[in-house]
Amino acid sequence: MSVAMMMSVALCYAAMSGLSLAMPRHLMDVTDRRLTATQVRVLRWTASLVLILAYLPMWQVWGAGTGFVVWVSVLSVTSIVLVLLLSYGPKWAVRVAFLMMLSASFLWLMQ
Amino acid sequence: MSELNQPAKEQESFRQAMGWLHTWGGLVASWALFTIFLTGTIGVFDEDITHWMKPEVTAVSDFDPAAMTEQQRVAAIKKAQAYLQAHASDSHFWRIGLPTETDPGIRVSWRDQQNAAQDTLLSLKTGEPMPVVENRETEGGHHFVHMHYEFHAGMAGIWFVGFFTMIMLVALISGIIIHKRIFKDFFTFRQNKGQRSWLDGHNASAVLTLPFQLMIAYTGLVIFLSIYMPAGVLANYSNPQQFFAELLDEPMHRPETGVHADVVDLSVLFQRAEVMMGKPGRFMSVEHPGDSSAVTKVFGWFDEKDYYGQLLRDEIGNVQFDATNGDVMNLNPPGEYDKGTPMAVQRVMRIMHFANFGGYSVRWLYFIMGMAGALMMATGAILFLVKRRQKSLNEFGAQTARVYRVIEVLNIAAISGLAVACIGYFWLNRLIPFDIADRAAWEIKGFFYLWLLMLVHSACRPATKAWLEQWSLFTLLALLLPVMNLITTGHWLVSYWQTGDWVSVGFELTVLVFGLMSLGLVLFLRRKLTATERYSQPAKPSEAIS
Repeated sequence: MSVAMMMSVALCYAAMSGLSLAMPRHLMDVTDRRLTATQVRVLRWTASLVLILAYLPMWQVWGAGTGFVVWVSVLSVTSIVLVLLLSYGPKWAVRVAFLMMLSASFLWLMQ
Repeated sequence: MSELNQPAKEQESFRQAMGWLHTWGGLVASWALFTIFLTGTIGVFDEDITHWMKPEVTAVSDFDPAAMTEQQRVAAIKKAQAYLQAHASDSHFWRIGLPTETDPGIRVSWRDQQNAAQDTLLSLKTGEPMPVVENRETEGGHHFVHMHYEFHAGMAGIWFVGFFTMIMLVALISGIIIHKRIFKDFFTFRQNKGQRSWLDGHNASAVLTLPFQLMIAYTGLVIFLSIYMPAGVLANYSNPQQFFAELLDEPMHRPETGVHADVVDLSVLFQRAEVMMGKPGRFMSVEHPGDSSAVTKVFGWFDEKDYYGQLLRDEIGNVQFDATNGDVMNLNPPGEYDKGTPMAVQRVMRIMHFANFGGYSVRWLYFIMGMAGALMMATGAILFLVKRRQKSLNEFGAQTARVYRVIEVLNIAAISGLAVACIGYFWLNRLIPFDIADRAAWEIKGFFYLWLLMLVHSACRPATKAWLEQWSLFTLLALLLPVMNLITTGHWLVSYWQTGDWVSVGFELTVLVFGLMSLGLVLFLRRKLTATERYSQPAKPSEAIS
C-alpha cells in the first residue's frame, strides 16, 4: 500500500465518520451532547472538504480517471468499516476517526 | 382534494410495482448472482490461488521468466513446434506459451479432431511433457473466474450469466427506487434485531458499494457486447468476421482450403516478430497448421506492473504472418491504443472489470466490495423468507408453504453449500492423486459434486440444522486447511512464512479469517437453535390440542 493510498484511506474514513456524526441518530450513540444547527453545518462542510481532499493523493498517483475509480472504491470500503464500527462499537468509530485524521496529517507532514 | 392526491398515489403505486419487481426478480436471480459474485470475487486473486494450488512449482524452480534470453526463447519455440508436429499435426489450432511465474515450462495447447481443448506443459530442458509430480495439473484460481462468467458451460453459460446480470441491473435500479431512506439510513446497521437487521444488512451492503455494483454488472455485460447484442453486426455484415477485421484493423480470418502446406520454422518467425515489435515475445498461436491458409500470430511480452494506473492500457503488440511462407500480414506495434473510440471505451470497461490495473491494493478493494455484493444477494434471498416466516403472504395459495420450502432449500444450497464447495475445491487439489487422467477436470467435477451433495443435504434437513451443519463443515474445512496442507505437501502457513512465500501466507491467512467468521456464525446459530428449542418444547402439547 502506497503512502497515497494510506492517506486516502485515512481521509475517506475521517470524512465519512464526520458525515455520520452530523446525524443525531449516530451522534446519540457516541455522546450525550447535542449539536446546534450551525455546528452540524460546519461539521458537514468540513467533512465534505476532507472527502475531496482524499481524492487529491489518488489523483496525483493514479491520474484523474483511475484515481477517481480508486477513490470511490476506498470510499465504499472505509464506509463498510465505519458502519460496522458504528454498530458494534460506536465509541471506537470516533476514536479511529481521530486516529485517521492524525495519521493523515502526519503522512502529509512527512512528505 | 382528490386531484391533489393523484400524483402522490401514482407515485405510491409506481413504488409498489417496483417493489414487486425487486422482490421477485431479485429472488429468482439471487442464487445465480450469489454464485457469480462469490466465485468472481474469489477470482480476483486467481493467480495467487493458482500459486498456492501448485506447490511443486515453487519447490522445483526458482526461475524468472522475464530473465530468459533470446536463445532460450527461440529454443523453447523450437521444442514446442516439434512436439505439436509430432502429437497434434491434424489439429486446427495451436498455441505456444513461454514460461510464466505459475507455469515454469512451455505451455502448448491445441484443439483435437473433436475440437476439444488439449494442453500440456513441456520441460524447458527436454521438450517432453513435465512429470506430473513436478507439475500438479489444475485449473487453479481460473476455475473461479470461469465459473463466474460461464459456469463451465461455454456459450450457454455466458448467456445464462448475462441474463441474470441484466436482472441484477433491474434489481439495483428498482431497489434504489423503493429505498425511501437512502441518505437517512446511510450509516445504519441495527444488529441482532431480526428482520430489521437483515434489511439493514441488505441495504447497507448495497448502498455503500452501489457505484461498484452498478459498474461491475454493467462492465460485465459490455465485455461480451458482441455476443449479447449481435443484431447490429448481423444486419450489416454477411460475415461477422469482416466486422471484427474492420474494427480491429486486421486482416480477415482465412477459411481453411484443404490444401496441404507445411508450417515453416516458427522460431524464425518468432525472432522476426521480436525485432519488429522491438520487445520480447510471450506467446504465439497458429491457425489451421498444415493447411495452406495457416496464419501465425506472435504476441509481445508484458508485465502487469508496467500498466499500473492505466485504464486504457497500451497495446502489448503483435505480428501476424502467413505460416506457410513467412510473409508479414500485419504488424500491431506496441504502444498507445489506436483502435478508435468505441473499442477504447470497451477496453477501459474490461480493465475496470478485471481489477488488474493497480496491484494488490486495488485487488483487495475489489475483493471487499465484491464480497459486499455477495452479501447483498444472500441477505436479500434470506430476507424474502424472514419477512414471510411470521405470517405467510399466501402468494401461491395452498402450495405456498411448499414453495417457501423450495426457496429455503435453494437458499441454503446456494449460499452455505457453495461456500463449502469452494473451500472443498482446495482440499480436492491436495487429495486427488497426481497420476489420475484429467486431473484438473476432476477437481472441478469434485467441486460440483460437493455442491450437489450440499443441495441434497439441505433438502433432507430442517433449515436451521442445515445452515448450522453446512457452516460447521465450512469452518472445519477452512480452519484445518493449513494442517491438511502440511500433511499432504509438507508446506503450511509457518513454512511459507519462513521461506518468504507471502502469496501463500496471504492465501492461508485469508482462508483462516473466513474460517473464524464462519465459526462466529456457527456459534450464533447454535445459540439461536437452543433458544428456539427451549421455547418451542412446551408449546407442542397445546399445538396438538388446537
